[in-house]
Amino acid sequence: MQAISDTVFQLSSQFDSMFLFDMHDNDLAAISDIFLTSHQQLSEETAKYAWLAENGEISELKRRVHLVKPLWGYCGLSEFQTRFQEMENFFSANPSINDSLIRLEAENPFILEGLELIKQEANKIQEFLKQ
Amino acid sequence: MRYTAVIVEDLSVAADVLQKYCIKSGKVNVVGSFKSTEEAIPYLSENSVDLIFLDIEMPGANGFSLLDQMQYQPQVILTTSKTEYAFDAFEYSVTDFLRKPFSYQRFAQALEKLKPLNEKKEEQEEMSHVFIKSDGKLIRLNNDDILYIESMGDYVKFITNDKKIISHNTIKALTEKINPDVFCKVHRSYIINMNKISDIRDNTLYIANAKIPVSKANRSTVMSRIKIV
Repeated sequence: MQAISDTVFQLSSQFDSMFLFDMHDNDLAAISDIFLTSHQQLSEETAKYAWLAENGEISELKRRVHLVKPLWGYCGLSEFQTRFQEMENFFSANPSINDSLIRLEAENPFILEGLELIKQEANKIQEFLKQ
Repeated sequence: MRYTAVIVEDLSVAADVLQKYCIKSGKVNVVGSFKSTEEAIPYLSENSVDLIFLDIEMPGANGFSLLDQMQYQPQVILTTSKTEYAFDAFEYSVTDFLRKPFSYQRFAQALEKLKPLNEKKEEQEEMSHVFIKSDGKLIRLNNDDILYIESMGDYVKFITNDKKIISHNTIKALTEKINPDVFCKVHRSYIINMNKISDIRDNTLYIANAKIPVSKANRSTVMSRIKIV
């Protein structure tokens, strides 16, 4: 349902707000839902990456990166989706366990930054909708 | 009249957005949503739909294997986050290829490319039978009644359960005219109805007790079209 005040809310500049508002017909609550669902799934999935790499499950790791990759895009963070695509390409080449762990370590701050962005924006929207 | 559709997509956020777009369009009625090919197959083998929104990379079998197993040809819109499948998409004659995430506008463009329902149904009806010339008349044969077609030089013999009809034609010419979803050329002298195979042993397949040779050149095509569990 579209709230009248939705048009006043400004998403942070990192987000492709035009895409998000178009996708959800300016429904802020729906955007917040997508953020929360995506945040949960991305958090759960990315938490498994190190274990998969340590155990040599590189093809499963690649599959799981592929699975959640579009969630960044659904949150309006296309730059993060592109970065996940690059990660997927990297793991598709079946790198060694050591190289995989080094790559994941390098990506970790970026993943945490993305998750934090989504979480903060979801909180901001929810605060706004309470007003 | 709305297209009946199913969504086959393992990412719930993507499936939810797609469902929302379908409702917004007013043109698509989503009758089922499945997270894998394996979940979708039982539904699609018992229910006919006009359209499938299909992800490709999913747990288990990929989206194309679902299309391989379909007994009929609904229209297909692929939804994927990779563009590498464009060539396969072309091979499977899909209507459009949407890269996730996509806007409503892009989704609406894909819907515009769908064949109108009546046209699609007429096409399916046309592909469900053949008319063959024999004894100075045109005889209608439903695909489902034809067991196989055998070459006899400049003539071919259509074999059904209860009759054999000879017609002036060639296997080569027929290959281009019959429904490729149902029939398959297995040898320079034989076209068979894939749904009528009872068993396959080495380079021979059996249809209603008839032994039909499978040539080396066609063996891989035949094997790729049967479901081995």
